[in-house]
Amino acid sequence: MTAWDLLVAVTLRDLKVRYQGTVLSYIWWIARPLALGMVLYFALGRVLRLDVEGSDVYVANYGVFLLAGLFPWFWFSGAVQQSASAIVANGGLLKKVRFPRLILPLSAVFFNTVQFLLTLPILIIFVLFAGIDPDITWAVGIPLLLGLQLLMLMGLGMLVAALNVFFRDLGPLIEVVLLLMFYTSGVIFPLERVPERFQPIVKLSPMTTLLEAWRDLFLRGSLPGLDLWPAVAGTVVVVVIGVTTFRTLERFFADAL
Amino acid sequence: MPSSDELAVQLDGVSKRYFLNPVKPFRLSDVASPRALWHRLRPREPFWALRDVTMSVNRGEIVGIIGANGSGKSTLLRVLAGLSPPTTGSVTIHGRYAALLELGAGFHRQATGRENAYLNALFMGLSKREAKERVPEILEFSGLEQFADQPMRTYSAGMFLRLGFSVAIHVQPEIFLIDEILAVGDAEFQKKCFDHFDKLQQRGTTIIIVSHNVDVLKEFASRVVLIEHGKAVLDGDPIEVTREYIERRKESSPEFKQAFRRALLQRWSDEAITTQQEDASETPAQR
Repeated sequence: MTAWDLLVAVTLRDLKVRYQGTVLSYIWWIARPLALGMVLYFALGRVLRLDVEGSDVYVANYGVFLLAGLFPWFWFSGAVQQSASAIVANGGLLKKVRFPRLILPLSAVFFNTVQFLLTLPILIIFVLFAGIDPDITWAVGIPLLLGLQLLMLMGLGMLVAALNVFFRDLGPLIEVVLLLMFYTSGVIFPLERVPERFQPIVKLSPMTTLLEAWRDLFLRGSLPGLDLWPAVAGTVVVVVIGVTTFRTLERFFADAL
Repeated sequence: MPSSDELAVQLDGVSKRYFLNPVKPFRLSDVASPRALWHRLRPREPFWALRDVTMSVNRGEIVGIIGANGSGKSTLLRVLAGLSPPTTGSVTIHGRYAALLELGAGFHRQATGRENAYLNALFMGLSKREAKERVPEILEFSGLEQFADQPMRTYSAGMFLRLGFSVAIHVQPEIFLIDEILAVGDAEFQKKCFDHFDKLQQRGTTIIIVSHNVDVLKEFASRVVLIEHGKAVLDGDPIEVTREYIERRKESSPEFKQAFRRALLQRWSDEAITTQQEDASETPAQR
């Protein structure tokens, strides 16, 4: 299991190096989702007043609704962006040392996963403060969704890391796609509010149903059901394509960098 | 000496082709004109860095690889190390091997020497337990124990290389591929390295080393291969091959050498003049 040990060691080193010398490191981890959550809550919840009608738990707790989507979203976008540059940024090492190349994108994904795990308690505190009682379903739902999103990110990370070596336009392209996905994956609106004819389009992003599942779990205490199928299918597809692409291209990395 | 009939490394008709990039960078206007587009899309010019190299190395042998700059030595080593797939032919390596192409490749400047030593050892293929065990030895050999817990951005270039070299030799592979790195550190550290080299040799480690240093090859290598334009042209006794190499170098490019010497002299005299001028301009100011 040398590869696994290497993966763990690289991830730990990156975590340590990144936040060493910053006194408030933990604050910075949660600052982005919290700050964005606050602004969106102000703009959409208070100014445009999206939550005026209905007694639904989503609408009544729009602030927590946003946070429950933003935390997994930042995990997703951070991991995708970081793994896109994982191979390209380590050209020096790749050209000189032989080691399992998979380590690099996977450690980028793990890095962001650890951050998400450590900030999860903050999200839960906000949920509890909103008056939502912890549910027994969390014990099953959290590991389940965590595993699914982790798998999706591993596949996606391998795919973008490998393609970026040969197609450098991918970096800026990913930024644009992530921006579009942010607004279409339902970070700011519940899926049920989307008009029927737009539903298939919104569900194209596998993150849509996954984010919906995260919110359902935290706000309604309901476990993901069959509605989750686009996220599951997306994960399977992305893992298969990611692994095959990476395996096919990895031998050419050193020459292409 | 260990038995030498066992095969350690086998190269069979290995060639490596690279493509030279087109001279002009791509422009959007290239798409507009058919001629420019053809210019972009036509096959790029191939460059054969290795041509049909066949050689075998037995267990315990120390093989030197020598050749002019750009002759394909480093490509050969990279292909051997499995970093770059050969275009044709096959490479077979029997046993655990480590390639040492650059010292301290992958060191992180913000992490400490100890952390980097551990991680680098893992990267080079040691297991977690082996790496943990050897970190103290590595630090001791490098003579940097005092600074082990300082971030590596505080290290001097020499310290950086010493740590890189110490990690590399503690990986203890059966087959060692080395690219021109023996000139590391001060005289004392160099002696330590060469002593360790002797130890490796006695232990029966197979070593393939690329070097320009004829003296090192003559002393250590049991065989030397001369590479010219991607071909292995000579393979045999270190003294004979290195002599031939020096002969060929002399013949090959007297013009280049003369031009190089002229350029150097020119630069020195330029620098001398500028320093004099600076001195001259500083003196009145000081008064």
